[in-house]
Amino acid sequence: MDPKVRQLYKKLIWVGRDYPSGISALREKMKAVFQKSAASEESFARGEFVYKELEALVYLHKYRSIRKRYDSGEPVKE
Amino acid sequence: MRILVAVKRVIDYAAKIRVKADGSGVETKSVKMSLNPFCEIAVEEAVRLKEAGVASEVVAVSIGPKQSQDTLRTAMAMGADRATLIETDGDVQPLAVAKLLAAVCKTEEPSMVLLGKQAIDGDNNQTAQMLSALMRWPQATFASEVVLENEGKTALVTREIDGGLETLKMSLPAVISADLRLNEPRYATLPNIMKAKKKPLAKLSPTELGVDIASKIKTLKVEPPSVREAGIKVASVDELCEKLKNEAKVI
Repeated sequence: MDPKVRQLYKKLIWVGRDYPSGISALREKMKAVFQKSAASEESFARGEFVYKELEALVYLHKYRSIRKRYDSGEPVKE
Repeated sequence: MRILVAVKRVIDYAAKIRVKADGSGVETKSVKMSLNPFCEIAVEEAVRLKEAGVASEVVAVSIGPKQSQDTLRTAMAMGADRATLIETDGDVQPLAVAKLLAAVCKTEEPSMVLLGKQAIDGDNNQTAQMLSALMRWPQATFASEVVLENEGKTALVTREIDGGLETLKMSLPAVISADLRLNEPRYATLPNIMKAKKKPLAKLSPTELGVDIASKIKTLKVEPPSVREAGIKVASVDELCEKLKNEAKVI
């Protein structure tokens, strides 16, 4: 196996632990995509893209939940 | 300039909270734990000040059980240089936490102490204020912007208050607590967590610091909020009106 594949999978699993609906469903999906895709430059680029999207999603979900719980007001503008 | 950041290990924001059957507290066994989101913001701010060249060192401190090491590793993965864990068992009240942090402040001599405004488990919002009183340092709570002036001798802190913004100017050392909109914390990536394992982590105990952490407050009972009762479906408008009149008595 290309070590880059393993690295990408590890990275995705790491960020997936904080995925709002849990990692199990995400892992199944990821496994299927990994088995289907060839280790090409294009796949790696897409993997990186998905990783970044996941990171943003995890952050946004956390921010929104905390905001809902702790401050419902609009951000104050100067 | 050294910045001290206090972090807390709490039940993850997304985890479902269950109350223990005996009502003595909240179930923490086999529940996902993570770094308190507000502490995350405080760590991020300290790291940004370091990256801007204002601060030279960021030290993360946590008070809690052995597993709080993971929380400190996360803080170090985000960019803290080293960490100190003060190992305790069970619940530690905010006053005891403030006293422990004050003891750490005396040895570390930081120019600034950054904390989250509150932890999402106890929601106390007391530690920063108590620490500032114990150290007799100025305090700025709910900070939404921190700017250092005069080569790091004074700080301009903007805080969100009802209906506007308040800007405070204070001399350092000071205690600053972070609000939600101070910054967007970075993600502790896997490679950085691995690198953080090499960073130094010191362990201390409350007795070494000479602080009595015995709780002055006794928790009598913890109860979950009452469950909302299920609604019913009505077949016709007449039935709805009748129920609103006779059962709900609203019309």
